Amino acid sequence: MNCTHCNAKLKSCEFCDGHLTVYKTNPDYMQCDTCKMQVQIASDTSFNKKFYSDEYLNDLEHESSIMKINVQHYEKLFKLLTKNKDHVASLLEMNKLNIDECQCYGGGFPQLESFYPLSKLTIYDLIATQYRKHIKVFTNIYDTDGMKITYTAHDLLKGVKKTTNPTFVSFSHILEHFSFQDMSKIISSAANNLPDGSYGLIYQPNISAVKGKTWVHYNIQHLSFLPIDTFVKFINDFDELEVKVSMSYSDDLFILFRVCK
Amino acid sequence: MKTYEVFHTTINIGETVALMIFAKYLKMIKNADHIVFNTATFWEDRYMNRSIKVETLFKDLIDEFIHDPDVKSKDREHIRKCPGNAWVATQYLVAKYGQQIMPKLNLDSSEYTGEQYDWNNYICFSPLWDGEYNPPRGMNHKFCNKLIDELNVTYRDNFYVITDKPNLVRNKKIKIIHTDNLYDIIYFISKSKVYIGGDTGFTHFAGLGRPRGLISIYEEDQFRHFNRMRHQGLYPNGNWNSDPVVDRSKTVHLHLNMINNALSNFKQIHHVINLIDEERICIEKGEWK
Repeated sequence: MNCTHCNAKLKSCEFCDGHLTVYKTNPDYMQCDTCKMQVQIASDTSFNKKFYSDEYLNDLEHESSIMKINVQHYEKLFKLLTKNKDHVASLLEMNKLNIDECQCYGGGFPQLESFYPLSKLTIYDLIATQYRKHIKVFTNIYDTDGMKITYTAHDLLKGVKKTTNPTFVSFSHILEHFSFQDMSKIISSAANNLPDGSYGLIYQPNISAVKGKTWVHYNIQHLSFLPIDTFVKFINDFDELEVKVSMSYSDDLFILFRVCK
Repeated sequence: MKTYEVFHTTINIGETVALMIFAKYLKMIKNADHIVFNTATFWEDRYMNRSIKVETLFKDLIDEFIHDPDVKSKDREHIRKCPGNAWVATQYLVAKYGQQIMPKLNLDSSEYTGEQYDWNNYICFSPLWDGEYNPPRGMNHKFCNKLIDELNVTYRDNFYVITDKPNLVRNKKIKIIHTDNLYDIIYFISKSKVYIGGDTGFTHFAGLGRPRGLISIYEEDQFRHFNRMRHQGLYPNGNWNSDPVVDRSKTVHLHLNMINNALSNFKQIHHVINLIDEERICIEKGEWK
């Protein structure tokens, strides 16, 4: 589609090829007319990298106060999930496949993952060293007893690590920090690098829950948002991936998918 | 005819489980015709008078139980075979050949001398007070009593503690299984819904007993006991530990690590029990086959 004034080619949606127009509620973002995905106009991944290596975790008191609120949020979410039969079936299958570890990509402090009945959490994060240094801030608020937590520095743009045994990977509040193109590469690496029987969890802001420009998740670090239906379609479009659980919760969305090869 | 006698230099209750897995491996993978097990080497003093009844439990696996105190007797025609480090070997073998080499316990109700319970519907916890010969794996008393109290509040009618030291249980209203009869304990553990235990023989028997849930509470870093060169040299491709070998198709297993001989919260234990309860609800509702 071309501009009616200058005839320049307008940007189209990278997922469905629909028309991207400036989102009236928040003009910092463009929204696809068809799939309702939103992308930040001034999207700059390098800013994210700089922010997370230089500034993040400087204000631990603030981080701690947020986590104290979040812990109840995640507790309620996990209670809901324990009543979801597809989620129960998935957890039982994971146990059957001997999966007792979650690889948390961009996990930082593994707030949601700490609720899963697992023995080990391995966090792959850009600033793993800083998180490791301040792990007490997290473990004082979240119950992680019985779990072994380890940190490894990893740039998610390099994709998900290849494994031979079925694995559980999580992307909690991380994928919105990437452009749709980069996010596709990350999910694609999960589809390629994880063996059959692996599971993946996605938890992130749900764009359908936006009430106005002051929405807490509208900020310069968040480059793309997919509504839940689009996200489910996006995952299911991969031949190797199948969504098992999808639900909106508070102003977030939860997706659990399985690798089927 | 290929006849093997399975043996191990030290044998406690748990090592018996490892040896039986090894025996099944010899039978299924190595096509052994005849498996012999000498009950004299260790059972004499410690277990024979405590009615472990290996002859019943492993009736379908061991072809011949002998009782020969002369352990090194050279008159025997069969080949004596040791798995090496029992824990590492059995984990390795099950990982390699699958659950087909995990023997099934022959639980004969006529041999059981205890009371009748609501079979397959209760939770039992076997505290490992202090861990006498290996302190890091022991559970501190405060932790055990806290866990007992919490499980008792939630699952009162269906919760039991198995212990040989009932005086250490603070809450005197707790239902305790206290018996010298090892067969009865193994029978009780195997017919539980969820078994919670430490790094002990009962936990290994629970693995073979296939309860719906098994929660093993181990010391923080058990790998330090497994020297890679000494114990893992034979089986280098994995971090083998002394976890119970579990039939994952039947049992939901969760391994938890203690810090300073304790867990301070029991969130994950509840999650496993909820998971099993939800599974049962789904089946009863007909949502799953």
